[in-house]
Amino acid sequence: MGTLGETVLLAAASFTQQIVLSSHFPSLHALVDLYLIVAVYISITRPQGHALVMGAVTGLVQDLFTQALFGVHGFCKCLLAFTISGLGSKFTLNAPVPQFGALVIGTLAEFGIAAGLLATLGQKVADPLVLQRSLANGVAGMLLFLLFNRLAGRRARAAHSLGS
Amino acid sequence: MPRAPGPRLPTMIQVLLERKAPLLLFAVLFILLLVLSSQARNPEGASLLEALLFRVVTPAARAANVADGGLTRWAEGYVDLRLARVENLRLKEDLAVLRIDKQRWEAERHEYTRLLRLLNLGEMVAQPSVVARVVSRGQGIGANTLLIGRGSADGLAPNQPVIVPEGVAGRVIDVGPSTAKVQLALDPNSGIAGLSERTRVQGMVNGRGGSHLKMEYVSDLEDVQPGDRIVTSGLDRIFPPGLAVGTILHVEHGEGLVQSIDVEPAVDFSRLEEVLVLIGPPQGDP
Repeated sequence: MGTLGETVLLAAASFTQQIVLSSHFPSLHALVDLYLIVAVYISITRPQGHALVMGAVTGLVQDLFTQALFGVHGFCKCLLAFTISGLGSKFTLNAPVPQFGALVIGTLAEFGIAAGLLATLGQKVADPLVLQRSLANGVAGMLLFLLFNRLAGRRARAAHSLGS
Repeated sequence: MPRAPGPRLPTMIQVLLERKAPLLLFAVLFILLLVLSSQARNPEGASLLEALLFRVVTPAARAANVADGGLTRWAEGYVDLRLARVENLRLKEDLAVLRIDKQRWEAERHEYTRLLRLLNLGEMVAQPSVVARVVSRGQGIGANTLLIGRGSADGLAPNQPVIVPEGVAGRVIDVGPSTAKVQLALDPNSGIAGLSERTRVQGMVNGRGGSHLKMEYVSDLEDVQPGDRIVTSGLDRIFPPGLAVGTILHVEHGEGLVQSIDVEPAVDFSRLEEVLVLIGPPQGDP
């Protein structure tokens, strides 16, 4: 998946998160963070430099739609993408279980980083659903990763057949 | 899930993205921090960037301060140690001087006490007197004599009594302008008219050349006992009456008409340092 595909993916995730889920599935909207899932997916599939930029962009897009300070999610997701991408170059994160772990830990880590940032500003941060969100992101992420891979595989096969 | 290459990006940006990721991360995070900082301020009024820098810099500054403090304390400790060594030597010297001073002051205090007692003695005997310091002691055949630091210029004359607070010391036998020789009561040629304070039995107390005296010319019939205190009787017209001479140690009834009486002197002649010389007749005496 190239940069254009990632941009489309990000736009789709944003639309789904902010329009579909928030309007029709408020419970899922509260639990699932599609921006994080997209950021983790890009981190697993792309080099560190690219991943951190896309992570920052994804977070900033999320910031546009949330009430948090603009840049908080961008900061967190940038750092998160850089870390996961670095881990991905050393460990295999292609299997569902490591991906689930990356999503769960990524959710918790993002919350921790954001809490630290906001605490620096003297703001108290509480998220009683953070554990549930991490599990929900893990499950939803695994399912979406399968979907993304299938789309990416179909696109690669099409390109291969065109080339041959 | 194969990693896709970054397509269609300018070479410089691609290199930056792939090889300088940490630097890029730092730059992106810094920009985001600036963005955040421009929006938010903590309760103390500091921006996020300031607060973060403060959080990062403060421990480092504190650690540097601690290290600097430790180094400074070490250096100060070393300097203090050197100074303490010098000061210690100086204090030891001062202490030595003070110890010598203390010994001198102690000696002066004892001297003052002795002189005070002699002055009190002079007032007690109601007789003109001078205090004289013992200059030297006799040796050999003249062992029972003293040389004192007063002479004819001070009114001293032969046969004047020499006393100390404990009792009779002797008499002046030779006088120079500024010194005089004293014959101690221990001298065999010395004789003091004495009596028993208890029974008023009289006799002559003479020296024996040793450390004891003997009381002679006491009748065998007289009552004298060991422990009786012997004082001057005044009959020799040298020593005023009532001065302590010694204490009877031993009484022996001899074959003759007199008793042999050993007397322990009241004065420790080996420790004489100052003496009182009675230079005139008793006041009120014609």
